[in-house]
Amino acid sequence: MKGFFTVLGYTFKENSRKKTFIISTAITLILTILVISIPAIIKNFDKNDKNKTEQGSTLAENKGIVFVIDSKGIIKGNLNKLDTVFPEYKFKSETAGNINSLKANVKKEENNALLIFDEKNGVPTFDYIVKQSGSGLDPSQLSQFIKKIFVTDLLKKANVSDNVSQMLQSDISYKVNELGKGKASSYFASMVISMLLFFVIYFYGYGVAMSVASEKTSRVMELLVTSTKPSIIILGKSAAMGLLGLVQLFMVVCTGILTYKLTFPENFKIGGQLLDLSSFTPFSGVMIVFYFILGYSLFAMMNAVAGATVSKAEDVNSALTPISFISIAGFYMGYFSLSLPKGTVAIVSSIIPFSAPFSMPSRILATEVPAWQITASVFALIITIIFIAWVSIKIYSSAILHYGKRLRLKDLLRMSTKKK
Amino acid sequence: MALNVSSVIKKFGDKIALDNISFKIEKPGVFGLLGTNGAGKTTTIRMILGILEKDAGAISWNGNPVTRESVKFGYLPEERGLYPKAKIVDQLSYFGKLRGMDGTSVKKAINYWFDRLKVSEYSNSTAEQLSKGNQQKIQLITALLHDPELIVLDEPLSGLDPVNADLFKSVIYELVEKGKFIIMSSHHMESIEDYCEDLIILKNGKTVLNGNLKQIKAGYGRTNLTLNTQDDIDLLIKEQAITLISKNATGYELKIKSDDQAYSLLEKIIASKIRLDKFEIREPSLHEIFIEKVGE
Repeated sequence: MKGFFTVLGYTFKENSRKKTFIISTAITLILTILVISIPAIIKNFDKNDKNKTEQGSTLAENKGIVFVIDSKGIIKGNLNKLDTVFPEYKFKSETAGNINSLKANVKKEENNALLIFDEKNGVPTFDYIVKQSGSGLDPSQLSQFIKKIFVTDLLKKANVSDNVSQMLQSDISYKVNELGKGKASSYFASMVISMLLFFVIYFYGYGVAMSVASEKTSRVMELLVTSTKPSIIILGKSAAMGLLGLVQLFMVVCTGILTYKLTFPENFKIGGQLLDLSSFTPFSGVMIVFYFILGYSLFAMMNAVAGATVSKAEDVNSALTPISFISIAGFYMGYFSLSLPKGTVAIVSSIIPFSAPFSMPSRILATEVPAWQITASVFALIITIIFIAWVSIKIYSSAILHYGKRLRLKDLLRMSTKKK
Repeated sequence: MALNVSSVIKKFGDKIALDNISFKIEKPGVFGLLGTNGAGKTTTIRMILGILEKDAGAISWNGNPVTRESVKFGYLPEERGLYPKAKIVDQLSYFGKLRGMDGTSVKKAINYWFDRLKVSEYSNSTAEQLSKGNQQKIQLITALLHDPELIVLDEPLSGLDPVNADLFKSVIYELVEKGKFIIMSSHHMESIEDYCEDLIILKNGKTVLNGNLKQIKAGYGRTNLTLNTQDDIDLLIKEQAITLISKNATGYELKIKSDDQAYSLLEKIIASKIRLDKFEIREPSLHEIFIEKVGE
């Protein structure tokens, strides 16, 4: 046990001092801050834009003029009411004879508009003429206003009391209360967690393979195995890299939460959906860390063997290809199941040990996962980890002293069946 | 205390790497493990240290199987290995701790060996910043740090300048005086001859010679004659029917059947008024024995 902690301590210390670790941590933290503050930045830009236009219009007193041609007297005395509803415009009554010169004016002056009222089957209509649709006042808001005048007028004529008339005109207010987890917000959180877990597990698993391979390349291995048991080396080293990953993950999550608290605007929407991170509960936090540890252990054990099969550090990537394939397939299975977190694919992928670490935590964020599924998933993972660790330690002991040609899968199988 | 290697066999696939190797090291001192490249020296060492499994036979220390736990051993592998980017002092203390030392004793031992091998100034350097000779010194420290009882040195002197080679030799003498069991593998016959009392010579995984060096030499008898002269005495040698082994700038190496043969040659040389710098009848050197045994 002492040997295990010695290996763990040394590996952790040496790797945390490496430039690659320090730089990658710094970059990850900066990216985290940037990504999480994007909503705040967007909102800030929006506000600046609005400020600019508001400032522009008030400073230059350059109110747009809306020319109104109302030959049928539809709004009659209500023209000044328009001024109060749309304070940023000045409404000016005109006659139909001027229509062409008015149109020319509107075409020239960006802020001006022309409003022509008419009547069809006793119901008011209007033509709204602007240089570019989308700018100027909102026609649907105008339409509502006209309707209000029209209806009030009708009701008055039918001798309906003001009271009833007011009630008829009022909008029915409504509120949407979500009882379950919001779809878009949890989808976003799940996606981020799924990707983060994949990245950290993959990156630090790769670190284990590199570390083993470099010990072979530098020939330290021979000294190591005469100093302590191979199982202690493989376990201590994997634990150290895992701890390093956990530290980095912790730093990223803390920075993320802090940035979120400091900069995230209230009621920020993506595609009309509220975006918040309320699906992160203490339970989901614990499960994320737990699945990181399990998933990492699984891939670290396999990567250690891959690292032990090569003689040169340059060959690590090709030795890792089968494992990369498994992890990427696992990740995609988990990722695709995000859209249907209660579907069969999602359930299966969160129980298969190789995809569970990428799938289960995001499902837990997205939906209520039945306890039996979590139990089955954890159980399957632990059994697989123990089995793979057992095989890995066996192969590792034989593979580390092998130099020369890269060991093939059949060589490894032969090694794993030999006694040692 | 004794190391006993008996009837050890190791195969790599169809190739027999070690074929029924047996030897004993019964008293402290340096035991020579010799052989050509690929003779099976490193394989033997790895099996003694328990990092390679043997296919048959037994290796024991004081009657018990050799394991990391039962024997404190130190190992200087032929392929030197240090962490290139780690500080010297850090990796030394790592190896010390892996072998069960505590923080204080490891520090003390590191300081002792830094002074002894004159490398204190490199304590905070990384391995890759060190010269080859200094790396070798650090490597020797990793082998000796924990005061092992059984020490395996694989080519300890290769790549060292004469000053450092002497420093290493003095350390090895010191270890012998402290009563350590040392297995030394080397192609450097003179140094083996300096230390070794017993040795084994391997060829293609088989033992070709095993035993006490003095006895082996005595068995050959005084069959070598060294003659140093500036003159040409080829004809005289031929007349005496003496076998010429080699001729070089300083003189002749000859093989004789008896002392008489040598003395009659000496008489002829003096009669011919040829000047002689050296005349020595001696046992064959280890180098010569080695060449004879594994050379063909």
